[in-house]
Amino acid sequence: MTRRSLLDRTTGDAVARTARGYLADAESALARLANRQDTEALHDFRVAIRRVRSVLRAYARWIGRAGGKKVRRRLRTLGTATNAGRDAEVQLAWLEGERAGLARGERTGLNWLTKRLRATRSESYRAARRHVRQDFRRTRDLLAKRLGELDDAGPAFRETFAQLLRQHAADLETRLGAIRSPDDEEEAHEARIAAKRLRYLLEPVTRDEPGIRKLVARLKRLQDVLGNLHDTHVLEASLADALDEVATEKARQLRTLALAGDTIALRRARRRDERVGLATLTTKARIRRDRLFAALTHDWLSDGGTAFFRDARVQTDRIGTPSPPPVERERKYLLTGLPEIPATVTPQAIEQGWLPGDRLRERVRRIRDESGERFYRTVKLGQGLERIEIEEETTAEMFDRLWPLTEGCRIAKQRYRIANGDFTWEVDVFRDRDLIVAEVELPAGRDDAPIPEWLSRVLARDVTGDPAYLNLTLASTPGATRDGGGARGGAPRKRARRRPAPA
Amino acid sequence: MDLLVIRHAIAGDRDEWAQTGKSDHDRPVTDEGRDRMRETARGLRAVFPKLELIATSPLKRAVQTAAIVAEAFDDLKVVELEALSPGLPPEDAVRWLAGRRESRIAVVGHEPSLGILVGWLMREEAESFVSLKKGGACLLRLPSTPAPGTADLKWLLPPKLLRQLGDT
Repeated sequence: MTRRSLLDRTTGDAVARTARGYLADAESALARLANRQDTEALHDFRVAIRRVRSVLRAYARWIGRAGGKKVRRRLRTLGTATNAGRDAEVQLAWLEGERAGLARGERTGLNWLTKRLRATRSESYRAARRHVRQDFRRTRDLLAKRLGELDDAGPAFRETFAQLLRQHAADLETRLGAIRSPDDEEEAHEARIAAKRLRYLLEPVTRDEPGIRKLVARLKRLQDVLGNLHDTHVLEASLADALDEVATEKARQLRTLALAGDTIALRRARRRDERVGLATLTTKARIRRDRLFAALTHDWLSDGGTAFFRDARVQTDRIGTPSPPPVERERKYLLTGLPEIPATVTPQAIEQGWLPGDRLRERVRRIRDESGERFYRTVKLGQGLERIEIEEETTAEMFDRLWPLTEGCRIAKQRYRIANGDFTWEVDVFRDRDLIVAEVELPAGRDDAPIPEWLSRVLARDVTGDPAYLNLTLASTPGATRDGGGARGGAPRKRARRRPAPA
Repeated sequence: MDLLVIRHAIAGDRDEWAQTGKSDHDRPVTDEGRDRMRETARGLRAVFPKLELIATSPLKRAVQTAAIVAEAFDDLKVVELEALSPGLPPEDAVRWLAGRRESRIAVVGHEPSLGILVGWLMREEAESFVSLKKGGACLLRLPSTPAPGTADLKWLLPPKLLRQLGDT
């Protein structure tokens, strides 16, 4: 069975499916938390929660209470519970990478900072582990309930997605434009968040959309640069705090030793100065920051981002352009009599009537066959080989309400649908006049279909586009016997001849 | 006279609005309702291109809807008509219509009042003949001086079909 693309669903349906998928990801990451060796479990959990929150935030306008503040607040608490731990972890990784490049005396400062960051990380993760299970279950149950309230109505996901893609891409472009120098920490942070939101917006449709998949790949690279820049900004702040703290601590230590008259310890304390290493790390962090900013400038700020945003606009236009309404293309032939009908084909009894519109004609139709009774309303604009026709199923109640208004503009016919190769022929035998026609619907790009042999034997002529043979025209002249091109005029109706069903 | 009867766009939840203590008169259309109505209005224009005047109930959600329709018809004139307020009998609205010189008019209002107006114009029965969905519309053909029981229903379309027609 073909899987339906998210873009072909309604917004409520698509958002509910996406959010449920991320909740399942969060749940499986949570199950891995028990394994202390699995250091990525908490991170994966956090990312899944952020994705849920991001999708609910983006589509909040269309999903009612599922996108409400209560749900999003709880998700936010869950997603940010490990922020301090994660920041500490990132800094620890960078510091370890720098260890080999530091002189022995400089490592004192590195060790001091490492110890502090490890304590922060442990405390943050311990606290998160303590509460996360219970908090998650409460949030999951609430959200599942709210997602269950979403009906299948609402605008097409394709439309809302395209609308949000346009907005999110424009937002990112603006935010990137605001970054002027490596010191613009706040601006870079805002751009990082905008990039993350855009990526989370795009990810659910990458499976069906290669163009979107490419955008996501480029966004990941941008996020890496902005993420590293952000981490470096945070690291610089940590180093500044550490230097302040170490300076005060060192001053206090030296004073204590001096007052105690312990000259040996005082000399040792002077040699073991953490500030030297922290100052070196500060220089290294600054170099890293400037390199990252240079990369950001090259890839995104000075025209480098132009191609990305151009491609994003192309994707937006492509996805957001509503598919043209279905255009009915068909051929209609007047028949001299009934063709042979396969024994397996059972007729449908069709009654249809038109409301008295002129520019737009609305038709109501009842179809009865072996499977029961169904009702449709159809609106049509234009005529000929191509005309706009939109149909939807309606209720018996609506049919009963509108049917009396179609009086004087109705037809009744018996329809046989006969498959022939790639085409399905519809042979209509009118019940109130001496007329039989065959119609075939054509795929786009075709304006003809091969005439099957069984049909050619009774074919009088092509009447496609002939206003006299439009159902609506026929309905306006009830009961009149039509000229069948001399072949059928006035001929008594023949009963359907049956062909044996193919073995 | 051609009379286009339009129900207002999707508005905020009635009960939630009531809890704010504000009057139902001021309950606005939602962002979603506004976006959808813009598409619906394009559909209305596709199937009924020439409109001369829009009359609307004075309630905020109807006035906002009328403004969206007016925009789709090149900023057409909108007048507020008390007779289109919810719960009022159809006679006053019909009297107002009979006094107009325009021959292609739209009215924007509420259910079930609009359904009753349609029933009154078609069958001279003050019973709801059709139930319009929010943003849905129907077109009535009336004599130049409209009177009860003189209208023909030309079409009745839900908003979804109108939006699709707006894409043509």
